[in-house]
Amino acid sequence: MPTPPDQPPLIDIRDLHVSFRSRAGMVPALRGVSFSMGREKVGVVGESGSGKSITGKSILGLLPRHAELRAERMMFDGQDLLTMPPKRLRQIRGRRIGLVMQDPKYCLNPVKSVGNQIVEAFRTAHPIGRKEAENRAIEMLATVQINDPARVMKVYPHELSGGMAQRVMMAMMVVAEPDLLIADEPTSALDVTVQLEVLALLDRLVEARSMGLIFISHDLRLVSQFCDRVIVMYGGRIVETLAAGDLAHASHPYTRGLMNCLPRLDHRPGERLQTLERDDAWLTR
Amino acid sequence: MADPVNRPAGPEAILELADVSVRFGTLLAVDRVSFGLYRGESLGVVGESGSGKSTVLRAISNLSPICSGEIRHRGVPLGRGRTRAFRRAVQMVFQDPYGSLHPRQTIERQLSEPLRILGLGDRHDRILSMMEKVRLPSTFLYRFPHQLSGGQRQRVAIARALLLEPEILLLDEPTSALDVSVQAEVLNLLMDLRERDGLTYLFVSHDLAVVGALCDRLLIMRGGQIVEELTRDMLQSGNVRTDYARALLTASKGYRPG
Amino acid sequence: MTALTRFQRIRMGLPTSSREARFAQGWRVVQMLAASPAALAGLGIVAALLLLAAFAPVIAPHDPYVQNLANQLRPPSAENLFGTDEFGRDIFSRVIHGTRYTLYIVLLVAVVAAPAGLFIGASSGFLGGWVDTLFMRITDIALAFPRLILALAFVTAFGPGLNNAILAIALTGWPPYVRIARAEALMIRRSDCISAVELMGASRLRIILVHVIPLCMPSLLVRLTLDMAGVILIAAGLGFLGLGAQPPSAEWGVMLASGKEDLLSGWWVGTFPGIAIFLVCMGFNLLGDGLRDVLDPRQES
Repeated sequence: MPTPPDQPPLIDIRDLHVSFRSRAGMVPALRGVSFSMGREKVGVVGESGSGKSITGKSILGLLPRHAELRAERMMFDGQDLLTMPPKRLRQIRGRRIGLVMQDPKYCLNPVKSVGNQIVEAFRTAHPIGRKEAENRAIEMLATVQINDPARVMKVYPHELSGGMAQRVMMAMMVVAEPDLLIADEPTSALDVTVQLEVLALLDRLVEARSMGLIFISHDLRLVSQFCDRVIVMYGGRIVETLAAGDLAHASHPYTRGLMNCLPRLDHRPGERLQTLERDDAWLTR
Repeated sequence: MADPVNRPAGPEAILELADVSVRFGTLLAVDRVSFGLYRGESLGVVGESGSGKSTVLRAISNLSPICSGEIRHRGVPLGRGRTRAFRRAVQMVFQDPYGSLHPRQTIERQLSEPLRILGLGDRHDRILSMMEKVRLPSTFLYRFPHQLSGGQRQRVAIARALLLEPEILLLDEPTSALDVSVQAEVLNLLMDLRERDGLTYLFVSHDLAVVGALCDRLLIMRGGQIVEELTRDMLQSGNVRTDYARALLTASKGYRPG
Repeated sequence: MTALTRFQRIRMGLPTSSREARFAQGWRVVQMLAASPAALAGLGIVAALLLLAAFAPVIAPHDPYVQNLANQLRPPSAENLFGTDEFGRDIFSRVIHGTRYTLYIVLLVAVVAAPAGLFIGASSGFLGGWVDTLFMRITDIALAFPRLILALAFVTAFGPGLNNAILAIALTGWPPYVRIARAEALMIRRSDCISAVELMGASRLRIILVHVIPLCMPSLLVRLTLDMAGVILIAAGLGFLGLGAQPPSAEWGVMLASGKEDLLSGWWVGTFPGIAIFLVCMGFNLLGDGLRDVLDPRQES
């Protein structure tokens, strides 16, 4: 649901440009991205090179050192992210914005137990005693539907299955009660049956805490089923924004092309799939 | 869980697996699997991670030796190695476009390798015509893999597999790592090639919709066993027998809130 | 297209053969090296070593071996840039001729130790099993020998001389290359690109030579370059002890030994060969570091 009018939007970005310094000069990755959102589920869809992950990383201030960012406006809940001192940005990043990434095995520390990591995530955001943090961690593991949470507290990341690792990741991110969650392809590495369970869980978590969610994915169909609004990106730009239910009435040829080239179960034998005819005009709008 | 489905192959099968098992340490990755592959068909093998679907392909190509059972090619049982004739007849396309090409060799060098190994002549002509067949410009021949996109690399991988003029192509999730729009192009290419050259495909995937587009018949694997066999019609009409197949079918339709 | 010369084509990134494409890659490496001042300095020093060694008789103003007892222990001057030693020989010329010994040492060790280590390591890592175990145990045994002491043993057994010293260094120098090659081979052997070639029916020897070894080359090259400094120091050390090159060779270690005698009365006798050793070692180290930064696979995109 969108924010009530008297509250500032959770995210307000205008004309965001990100470029990378390379041997060949400046390589643009984002060319003027603008959007705003409240406490709703927004999907950001694009193929590789569209800039969807860079958008998420820009909000979190997680761009690599050779990246250059400039924007007219980049606000989180009324606070200016562009002029914020790094220490303050780190605090916001830990406490108020969470990040769930594609492969939890790469984000979870392999030499620390699961419980340790959740407790650490919590205590970084809220200075409370260790025992209380541990109880909260166990509660959180139960919330993400892990059976026997007390046992899982002592388990190490490599002993977890993909689905469980992703749930642990979500527990870690949500335990600090953030206002905004950025999920970058959170289910792409999971089996399709596990994907749906994890998504349902994410849905419940976000609804229960009235969090905003930015769901970054390459899967247009999934995003349209899961989110309230869909932003379609191509070549570092937003080419279309629409309500999830309106996907069938998409107007931009890239969005329509992307939908049409998906193989469908009712495909006729011998028929070729529709392909996307790329138009260079999309890169300049 | 329902009993595994293992239909012994008919006499016209060009590839048959009879009671094949593959073991990795204590894990039985493929558990007494039997099926037949018939000339000209496109057979899909669908499953989630750990189902053993990729291991079946590796067993056929001898990348993972079998511990029991028999594989027959045109009726002749395969031994512990693979003959030259088999290598020419059966080739494979791998999943990861970034890993399946040698990072330090030019495309031309990599495409000439199968021809060199098997002593086939006219290398340059064969390579040029193959590049045309997979719709890649010939200037790409002298580039390195990191200068190509994922879709282009997969086309090179397909070209490499086809240079030996095989009759059977083993495809291990060839489009899973590609963008959706690129996937459509590569799948169309695979359909064109099959029609033009009369190839037989054994296509492994986790994606039911992709398999439905490319395959006439499919096997569903779970835990190393074949749990169901379906034709495309049965898949599209939802005429499935096992609960697992039904769960896969439902999941492939996407997320339903609530 | 034919109007462009081959070199122009390579520079523009439009190769028309695999060989040209590989050349273009090499050129790109040099360009990247040139971008770092330290690496460029290293490259310059090594290049200077090669040039001086190649053209030593032309560049050196005096004969390095001719004695001139009237000119003993003269300090640096316009006539003798680095002064003269206790036999009146021009030190500048001797230092320049010393580059030939340095180059000889470096090349011999590189040519003997590195390819052997490369092949053994690549085979060991790729084949695994008892071959791997056997080679690794042999490598462990070789690693256990202290280099300098083995050199002493060789010299005692076979007599002093530069070749014996180099032999000792080379025979104890190959284990690191085995390990590097083996590590790369282990990483690559399960990859799809090797599986694809196995599927074509390539023999294991072919896979090792044509596919695995090229992948080990960058790491090996970096390690080899960095090792050169150590090799030069050991050879100079042996020369200094009188166990390597023998006087009147213009080898820098030998020159250091005679410099030791005259440290107070003729500081230039030992200092300039010492600086030469220092510069060359530093050059190899800088070049090796630069190569490592450039050849690191992570930076290849």
